[in-house]
Amino acid sequence: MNNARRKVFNGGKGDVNHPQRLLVMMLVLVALIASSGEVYAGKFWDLPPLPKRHEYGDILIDRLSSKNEVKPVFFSHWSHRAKYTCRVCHWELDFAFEVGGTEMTEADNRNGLYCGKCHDGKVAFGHTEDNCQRCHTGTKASNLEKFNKLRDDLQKDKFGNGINWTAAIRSERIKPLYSIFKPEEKPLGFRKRLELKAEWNFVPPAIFPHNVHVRWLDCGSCHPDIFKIKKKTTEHFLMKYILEEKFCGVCHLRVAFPMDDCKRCHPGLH
Amino acid sequence: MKKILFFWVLVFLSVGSGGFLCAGNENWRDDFDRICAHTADVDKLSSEELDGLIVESGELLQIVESSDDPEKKIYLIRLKKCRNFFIFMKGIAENSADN
Repeated sequence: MNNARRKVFNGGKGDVNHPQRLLVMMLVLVALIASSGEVYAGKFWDLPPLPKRHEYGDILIDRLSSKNEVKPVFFSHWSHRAKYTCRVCHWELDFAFEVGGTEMTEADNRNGLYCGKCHDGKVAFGHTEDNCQRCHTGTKASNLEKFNKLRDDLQKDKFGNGINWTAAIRSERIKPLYSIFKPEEKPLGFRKRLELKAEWNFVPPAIFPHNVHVRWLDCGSCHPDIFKIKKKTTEHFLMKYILEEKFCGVCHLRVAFPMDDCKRCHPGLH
Repeated sequence: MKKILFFWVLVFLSVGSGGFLCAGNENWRDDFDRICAHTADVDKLSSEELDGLIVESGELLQIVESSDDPEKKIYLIRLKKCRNFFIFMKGIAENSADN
């Protein structure tokens, strides 16, 4: 977790012991909501800092690189997700969701596993010595020009990459591959919409639409590793856990749209 | 003459065994594809079918583990995920039946 967080108000879980202070804080909270017209979670929650749009979702993979005196590997989510669904890498190619959680080696890549599955010199630039510097940059080096060109063609969003990826895939402005092994494979037609009761009475429920998620992911991507839930036991999806990168926080803090826009998940908020 | 004959027998055996190993690999990959494809239609499966998949995937895990295929590490993790998902869905089905 990044320690440099935008801490404004931590949802009332700080050193608020005095009832009057609590009342004042609640009044400030109500005033903030009323005055802004829009509800941004960054005002109330300790969210990770938002990078520039073209750098949102960028990661540096350094499981073995530095140990082997090689610069860490840069990976940009936006440039890949326009062509491939999350499922391709995080299911078919077995990349863990956690940065550095994949036991990937140089030899694996050369044997056509992980990045090497596509970066073979045919589908994408090859995993060869003359291309080392293209991935082993050691810094997050997203191409702003390419990003802007992509974003110009897609529906906009307020946070994250500033791209509404859900709208982009629904409207087929992007057609990311669902499977690189079986082109005929299609997303599961599972449309169940979950309504998750919020922690506070004044906050309307969060809505979880399965159909939006199964376009990008496999059922097994989330169940049971991330969401090992049984019916009617969704009460423990607390914001504090999500902010610890559990549950929705696995994706919705640094890659999928961030939680700054409360209304994306709590559409009933005014 | 005997040396040449021995050489050709060796060549024949090595080619033959290589073919056999390939066929073995293809078999577990076919089984993998067939079993893991059910994560996409799991909502249509009966409890008995889920039980069958859980058993089959457990057996296949052992076969893949014993393989020399360099790609097996990926297949193993995915197969474990598929199996865990079937177990998860079985739990959901049982829970729904109880309610």
